[in-house]
Amino acid sequence: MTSSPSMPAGVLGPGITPEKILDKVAGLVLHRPMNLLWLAALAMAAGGGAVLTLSIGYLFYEGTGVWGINQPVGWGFAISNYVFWVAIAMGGTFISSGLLLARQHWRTSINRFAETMTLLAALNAGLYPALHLGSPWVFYYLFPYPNSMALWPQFRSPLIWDVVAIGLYLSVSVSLWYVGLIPDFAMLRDRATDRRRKLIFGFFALGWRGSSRHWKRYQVTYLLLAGLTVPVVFSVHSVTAADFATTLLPWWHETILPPYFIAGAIFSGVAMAVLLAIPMRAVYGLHDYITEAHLNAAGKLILTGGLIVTYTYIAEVWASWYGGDLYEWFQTRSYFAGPYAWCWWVAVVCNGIVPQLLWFPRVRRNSLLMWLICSDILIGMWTERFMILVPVLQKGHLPSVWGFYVPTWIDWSTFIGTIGFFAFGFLLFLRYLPMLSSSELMELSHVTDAGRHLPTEFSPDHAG
Amino acid sequence: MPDESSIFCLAAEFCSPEEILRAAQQARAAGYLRTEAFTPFPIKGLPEAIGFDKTWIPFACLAGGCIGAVAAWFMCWYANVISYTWIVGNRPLNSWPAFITIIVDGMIGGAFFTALAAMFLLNGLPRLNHPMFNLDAFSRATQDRFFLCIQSNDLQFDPVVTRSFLITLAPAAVHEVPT
Amino acid sequence: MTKAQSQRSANAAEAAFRAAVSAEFPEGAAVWDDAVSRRNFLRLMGASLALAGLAGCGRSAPPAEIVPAVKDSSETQAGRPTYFSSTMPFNGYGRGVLVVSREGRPVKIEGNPDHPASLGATDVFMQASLLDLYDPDRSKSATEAGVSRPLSNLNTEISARLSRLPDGNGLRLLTRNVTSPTVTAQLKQILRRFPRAKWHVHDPVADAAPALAEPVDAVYDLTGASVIVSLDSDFLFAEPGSLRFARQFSDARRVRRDKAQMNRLYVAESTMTMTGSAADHRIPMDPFGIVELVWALASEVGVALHDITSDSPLAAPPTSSEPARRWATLIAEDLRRAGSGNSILMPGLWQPPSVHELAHAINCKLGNVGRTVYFIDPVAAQGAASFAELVADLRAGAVDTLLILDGNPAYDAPADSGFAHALTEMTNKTSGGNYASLTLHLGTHSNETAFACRWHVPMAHWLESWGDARAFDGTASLTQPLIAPLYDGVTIAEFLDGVLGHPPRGGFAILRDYWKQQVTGDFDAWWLKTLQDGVVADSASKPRAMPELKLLPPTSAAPASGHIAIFRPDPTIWTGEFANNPWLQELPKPFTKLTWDNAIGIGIGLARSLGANGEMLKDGDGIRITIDGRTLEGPAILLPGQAENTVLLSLGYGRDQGGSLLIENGKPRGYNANILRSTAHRGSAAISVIEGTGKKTTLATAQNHHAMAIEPGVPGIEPFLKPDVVAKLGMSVDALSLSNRKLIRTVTLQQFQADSRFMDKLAPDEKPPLLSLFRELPRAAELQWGMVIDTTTCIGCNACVIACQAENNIPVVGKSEVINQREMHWIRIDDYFDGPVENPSVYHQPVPCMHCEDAPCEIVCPVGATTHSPEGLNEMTYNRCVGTRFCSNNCPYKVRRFNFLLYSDYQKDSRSLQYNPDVSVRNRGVMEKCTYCVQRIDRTRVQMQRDVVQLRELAAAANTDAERQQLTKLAEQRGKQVVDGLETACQQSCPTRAIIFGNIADPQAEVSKAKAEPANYTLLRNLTTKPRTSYLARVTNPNPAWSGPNPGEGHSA
Repeated sequence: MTSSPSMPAGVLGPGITPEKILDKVAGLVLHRPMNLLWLAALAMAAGGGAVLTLSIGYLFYEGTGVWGINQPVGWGFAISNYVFWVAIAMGGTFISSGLLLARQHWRTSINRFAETMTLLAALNAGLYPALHLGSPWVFYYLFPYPNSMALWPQFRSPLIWDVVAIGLYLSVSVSLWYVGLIPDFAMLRDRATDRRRKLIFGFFALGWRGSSRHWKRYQVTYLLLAGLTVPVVFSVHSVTAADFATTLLPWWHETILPPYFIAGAIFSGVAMAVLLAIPMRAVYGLHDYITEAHLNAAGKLILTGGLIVTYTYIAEVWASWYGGDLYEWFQTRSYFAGPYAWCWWVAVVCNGIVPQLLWFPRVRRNSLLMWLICSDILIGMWTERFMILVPVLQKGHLPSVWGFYVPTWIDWSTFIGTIGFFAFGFLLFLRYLPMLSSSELMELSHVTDAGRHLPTEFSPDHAG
Repeated sequence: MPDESSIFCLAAEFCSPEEILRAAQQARAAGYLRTEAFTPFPIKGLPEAIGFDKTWIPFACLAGGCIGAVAAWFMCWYANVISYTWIVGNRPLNSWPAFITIIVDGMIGGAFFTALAAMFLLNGLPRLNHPMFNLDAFSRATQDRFFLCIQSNDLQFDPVVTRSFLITLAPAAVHEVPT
Repeated sequence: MTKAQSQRSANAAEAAFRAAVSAEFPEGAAVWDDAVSRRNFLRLMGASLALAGLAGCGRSAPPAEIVPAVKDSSETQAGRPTYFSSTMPFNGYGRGVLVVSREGRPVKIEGNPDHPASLGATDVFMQASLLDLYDPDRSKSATEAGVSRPLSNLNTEISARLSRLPDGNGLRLLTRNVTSPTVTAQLKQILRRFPRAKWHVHDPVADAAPALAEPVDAVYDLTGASVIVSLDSDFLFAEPGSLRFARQFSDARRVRRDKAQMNRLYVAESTMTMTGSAADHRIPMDPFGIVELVWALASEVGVALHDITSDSPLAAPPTSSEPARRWATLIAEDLRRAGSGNSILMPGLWQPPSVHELAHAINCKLGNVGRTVYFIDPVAAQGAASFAELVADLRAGAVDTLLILDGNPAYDAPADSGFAHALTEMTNKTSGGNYASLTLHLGTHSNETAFACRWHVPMAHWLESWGDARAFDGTASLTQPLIAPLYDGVTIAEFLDGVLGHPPRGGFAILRDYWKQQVTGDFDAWWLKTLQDGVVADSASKPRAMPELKLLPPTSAAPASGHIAIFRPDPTIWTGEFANNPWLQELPKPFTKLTWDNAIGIGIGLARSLGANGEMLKDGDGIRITIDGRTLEGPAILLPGQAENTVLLSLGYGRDQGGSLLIENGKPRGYNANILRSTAHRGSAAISVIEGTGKKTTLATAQNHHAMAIEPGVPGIEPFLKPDVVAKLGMSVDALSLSNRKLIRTVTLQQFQADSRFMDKLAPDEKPPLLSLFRELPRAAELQWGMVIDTTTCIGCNACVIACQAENNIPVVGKSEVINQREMHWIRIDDYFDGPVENPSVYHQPVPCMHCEDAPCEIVCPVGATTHSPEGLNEMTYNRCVGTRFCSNNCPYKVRRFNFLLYSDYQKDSRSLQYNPDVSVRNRGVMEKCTYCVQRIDRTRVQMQRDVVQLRELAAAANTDAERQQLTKLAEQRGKQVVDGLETACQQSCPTRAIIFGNIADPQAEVSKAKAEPANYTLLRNLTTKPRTSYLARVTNPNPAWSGPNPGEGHSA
C-alpha cells in the first residue's frame, strides 16, 4: 500500500475497497437492526431535551429573574454557555473546511459527523442569545426588517454583529453539510430496496446522477464554500469575543480576545470531535475508517490549540501587570485569589497543563487516554468561559456596586438541557444518515490502493 | 433498425475508473462530441476527456461577494445616516469601523450563496427524472460502475455504428437508453 | 352637670359621631374640582378601592373649599399638576408641604419654601407618608373586638358612659405629642367640661425630651455660628427643625472659589448619625463620656455656675476622663476664638437634663443666647397628666372610658410600664356579661394598640384631613385635605368635637371656627391667604427669657458590665409608624445600607470580643442582650464609628399588628427594642448581659462592601472591610487598591485656600486632556443639561432617593430581591469610610446616572433603546428595550436598573394610585435609569411655550406700539428662560441644596459656575465617558490646633 507525501499512512485500514465502503456506509443506514443501547441513549437524550423545554417555559413565564443574574452581573450562564457551544461548533467547521483546504486526507472519514456536531452545537449556541433577552417577545427588534416604526437595529453594537454572524454561520453550516450529503443520498437511493426509502432518499438526492460535468462543478463549488466557511468561523468567534472586547471593563477591554477565543474554539471543538469519534468507532466498528492516524493528527491539533490558549493566559497576566492599569491588575489579582479563583486555576490546569501529555505519540494513539484528555479539556474550556465572564462583571470600577453571582438551579437545568438536545440530534444522525462520506471515501480508497494520482478534490489545477 | 428519435443515448458500462478514462479519450478521438460520463466519485481528467474544462462558477462567486459587501455597507449607512438618525455615544453617524464585521459577513454570505446557486443552476438540479434513470443498470452508477454515454443528438451518432464502436472499447456491457 | 345637660351632651356626642363618619358633603362643592378630574378620579379610585375591599362607593374631591398655592394657576386642568400647601404632622410638629395633585389624586409631596421648618426641602418621611395614604392595609371600618360594627353602636355606648360619669370621672384621653392649636383648645374645653377627666400624652420620641425645671424649647439659628458643637444631637436629620438646620448649616459650608469660608462642626455622639458624618471632628463617646465632656467644657469655658442659677451649693463636676478633658480644651479654645455669640452648643434630644442645662449655661456664657440660640415657651401643648399615672390608674381600675387618639402605646410604651398588659386587662374586664369599660383606639391602621382595645375607629390620613399644627419654632400652619377620606376616617379634631357634643360638622368648620376666634379683621381674606401660603403669618413664638436652671447632679458613672444600649428611632421607618411603607422599608439605611430589617449595631471592638473562638462577629450573626431580666435577640451589624462598649438598638421593628409588611415568614419583621426600654432610661440603658447566640441570618444590604481605604495599609484600615467582605474578595485590603480609584476627593479648608490647583495633586493622572479617536458631533441644542453634586454639603439623608422613587414610579422589589442585588433605586448614596474603623470619616456620594457625553451604554445597545438627546440626556426608550442588559454591563458606574421580574404593580395594589402620570410604568424585562427628570424638563418647556404664545397674543392685541414692543420683548425673554423653576426631584427635595442641575451651556447658570469650581471632578475620568454629572470635592474644616490624623487631609480615593 503506497502513500503520497501529503497522505499519512493508515488513514484507512488495509484492504479497504469501494465495495467494502459501500457495504459499510449503506449498511449502517439501510440494513442495521434497531439497537437497544441506541434506544436507551435516545431516551436519555430526549429527557434532557424535555428538561430544556421546561426550563425555557418557566423562564419565559417568570422572566430572567429566575436566573442568578443581578445588578453588577448582567450576564451569567446564558452567555458563557453560548460562547462554549459556539466554540464547539467552530471546531467541527474547522475540521471539515480548514483541513480540506490544508489537504489533510484524514479529515475525509470524520468530516461528516464533525459537521453534524457543528450544526447541533451552533443551534444550541443560537438558542441562548434569544433566551437571555429580558423581553423575548420582541426578539425580532434585533433584525433589520421593514417596520412601521421605521427603526433599524443599532449596527454599532457587537450584539448585532453577533446576530448577523450567528445567522450566517448557521445557514452556511447547514448548506455545506447538505451539499456534502447529496452524492450519498443518491447512492442510498440506488441501494435502497423498499420504495419508501427510495422516495425519501431520492427526494433529498435532488436527482444526482454522478455526471462528471456535475462532479466538476460540484468539486469547484465545494472547494469555494469550504474556502468561504473558514473566514466565517473566524469572524463568528471574533465577534463573540467583541461582545467583551468592545466594553470598558478590565480584562474584557483587550485586543487579544479574538485570537484567544478562536484558539480556544479549535481547541475545544476538536476535543469534542474526538470525544464523539472514539465511542462511535467502537460501537459501529469503524476502526478501518477512524484509525490511530486520526487520533494522532487530532492530538497534534489539540496540543497546538492548548499551547496557544496557555500563551494567552500568560500574555494577559503579563499585559495587565506591564500595562500598569489599576483595574486590570486588580482583576488579575482577584483571578488568582478572588471568590472565583478556582475557575482560573481549573482552566489553567485543564487547558494548560494536562494537554502537555499529548507531546507523547503513545498518548496520542491511545484511545482511552485521548478520550480522558478531551473530556478534561471540555471541562477546562467550559470553566474558562465562565471565568472570562463572571468575575469581571462582579467587580467593576466602583467598589460600591460590587456584587456576587451564583447560578440558580434553572441556570443549570437549562445548560444540562442543551447537552441533552445535542445528544438527541446526534443520535438521530447516527441512525438515519450516512455517518461517513462514501463518495469521498471511495475516491480516497481508489487513490490509496491504485496510488496513481492524488485524489482530485485536493488538486488545484483541477479546481480551475 | 430502431428509430434514432426514440434513443437518448448509447451507454457503455465499465468496471474501473481507468477503463472509462481511456474509453472517453478514445471516443473523443473518434470524433464523438456529445458524450457524457457517469461515475460514483469524481475522476481526475474525465471531464476534460469528454470535453468539459471550464466553469465560470468562481467568477459568479466573486461577483456575489462584492455585491454582498456593498449591500451590507449600504444598509448600515442608509439606516444610520439617511433613514433614521440618532445620536449614539456621540459617535459619527457613519461610523464605518463599527460596520466592518457586518460588511465582511455580507460579503461572505453573498459569495457563498451565489456559488451554491450557480452550481445547482448549471447542473440543472434538482431534476428528479432523467432519461438515464430509465436504465436499470444505471443504479450502479452511484456505486461501482462507470458509464460512458454517446448521445443520440451527436452528429456522428448512428445506432449501429456507434454501438459497434463502443463494443471496441471493451466495456462490461453496452445499453441503449430510451428517451 | 345636671341630668338634662349630660343627656344633651350624650345626644350631641352620638349625633356628632354619626355625622363624623357618614359625612359625604357637609360643605358646598369644591371650586377647583372640575368634571374632568372628578371623572378620572372616580374611575381610578373605583379600580383600586374595589380591590382594597371597599364597595365601590365613589370617593371624590375633598368636601370643602381647598385653595391651591399661589405658585400655580388656581384652576386644575387635566394633565397639569396643581400644588396645594398643607402641613404634615411629624412627632406632633408641623412641617409645611406643597402637595402635587394630578386629576384629583395627590401624587407627590414637596417642601413648602415659605414654611420655616421646610424651606422647600423634604425628608424621607414627608416624601414617603404620601404612600401611606394609599396603603391597602389601612383600617377601613370601625370594629368592636375585631368585628366590623356600625358606629351607631359606639355612639350610643359612649354617650351612655359620658352621661354616667360624674364630671367625667374615669374618662381618659391618651394622645401623642400635640401641637395643633385647635386640638389643644378642644382638649382644654373637654377638661373644663369634664373636670375630673384626665388627658395623658405618650410619644415615643417627644417623651425623651428632658424635663427641665422650667419647660422651654430651645431654638437654634446656625447662620451666624462659626463653631458648632453637637452633644449627641442629630440636628441635621432627627430634630423637628432638622430641615431648617440642615439648610443653614450647609449654607455656611458651601465653599466656592470666591467664598472659601466655612463653619466648623464638632460632634460628640455614641453612634454614627448623619450629623456625625458631616462633622469636622467626630468624637465617639458613650453617654457618660458626653456628660463628662460637657462638664469639662463648662469648667474650661469658665461657666461660673452661680451666674445662671440661684441654686447653690453647686453639684460637683464629675472627674472627666482624659479624652474628654483633651477635647474640652481644644473645643473651648476654638469657641473662644470664634468670639462672643458666634457659636452653638446643641444638646441632643436623648441627653439627660443636666447636659441640656450645662449646654444652655455655656451658650449663655459665650453670649450665644439671643444670637444663635433663643428660648421659647414649649410648642407642644402642656398640662397633660403623666403616662405613668395613666398606667397606675388602669391597674387600679380607676378608668372607665379610655380614648386613645392616634399612636401605638401598646407597642412603643417602655416595657416596664406594663401598659399593654393593663390595657388588655381593662378591655377584657366584664361585669354581668357586658364589657365593664370602654377602650377605644383611633388610628389609620389597626395596630397593636387597636388590637388591645375593644373599639377601633379609622383615622383620616393627614392628606384627607382639615387641621393645623405648629412647627418647632411655634409657627402655626394649616392642613388641608387633598382628597376625601378613602375609608371613612375621622380626624382627632372631629372626634373630640363629637366628645364635646357639638352638632355634626366637618373638620373644615371646626378649623374655621377655631381660627375665626383667633384672627381679627377680614377673616375670609386671611383664610384664603393662609391656605395659599400654608403658613399662618408671623405666628412664630416670641423669644422668652433664659429659663431658670436647677443644676441636677450628673448621671451616675458607667455601669459595671460597661456595655450600654443606645435606643434610637430607625432612620427609615422611625418609631414604627412607617413600618408598613414599602418605600421606607426598602430604603437603604445610612452607613449600613440595610433594608427591610433592623439589626444590632456594634463596634469593631465588641465584634472582636463577642466572636466565638477568636473569630470576630460578622454581619448577621445573632446577639442576645439582657437588661433587667428582659432579653432580646437580633442579628449583629458592624457600625463604623460606634462608641466603644455601646450597642445601637433601633426602634420601629418587631411589630405584629397593622400591616402585611410587618410580618416576615409569619413572624414580626426585625426585633422590638421597646421591650428593653424603661421609663427611666428611654435613650440608653445599661446592659446586664450581652452574648453571641451562634445563629446566622442573611441581612438584605444594598451594598456588600463597607469601606474604602484612602491609603492602602494605613493602620486601622485592615479591620475596616467587614470580614465577610474580605473573605468574599479573598485578598488583603491593600490588594484591593481602592485608594487609587480617586472616587472620593477631599481637602481641608486650609489647602483649599492655599492652593487652587489642589485637584491636580489629588489626581495627577488626570492632567492630560482627553482625546477622542473620532470626530465628535457638535452640540446641537442651546440647552445642555448637567448636574453637580456637592459632597461637602451632602449629609446622606436619603431624601433624594425617596423623592426620585416617588417622582419616577420606581418599584419596590422586596427583601429577597434586595438580597439578590436587584434593588431599583435610580439614585443611590454610596457611603465610603476612611481612617480608623473606631472613628472613620464618612463620605456620602449620591450616584445618579452620569449622562455621559460618550455614553458606553448607548454604543452596545443592539436595538437603539438607549440613545442621546440633542440636549445631552442619555435617554431610555422603554418600549424599544429587549433587555440584553449589555448597557448595564458596560456602564462603569452601574447606575442602570433592570426589571428582572415584573416588579411594578399595575392596578393590583391601591398604592399604584400614587403613580406619577407623567412617567411610564416599566414592564418586566426592561432596563431603566435616571432621566434627569425629563418629564419635568418637558413640562417647563411646555409652560414656557404657553407663556410665550400668550404674550404674543397680548402683543398682537396691544393698543399702542410701545406696549406691543414691550410685550414682544417680554415674549422673547421668556422664550430664553426655559429653565425657570426647573428642578429635578432629587434636587428639589435636598435639604442642603447639594444637588445643582441646569443648563451648562449657559455660563451664568448656577450649575455652570459650580462646574467651573476648582473642586469639580468627574468619576473615572480616565475612561473618557465624559459624564455630565460631576462632583465637588469634599472640603472639611478641621481645627488646625488638633494633632493627629486629620479626617479630611488632602487625599482622594
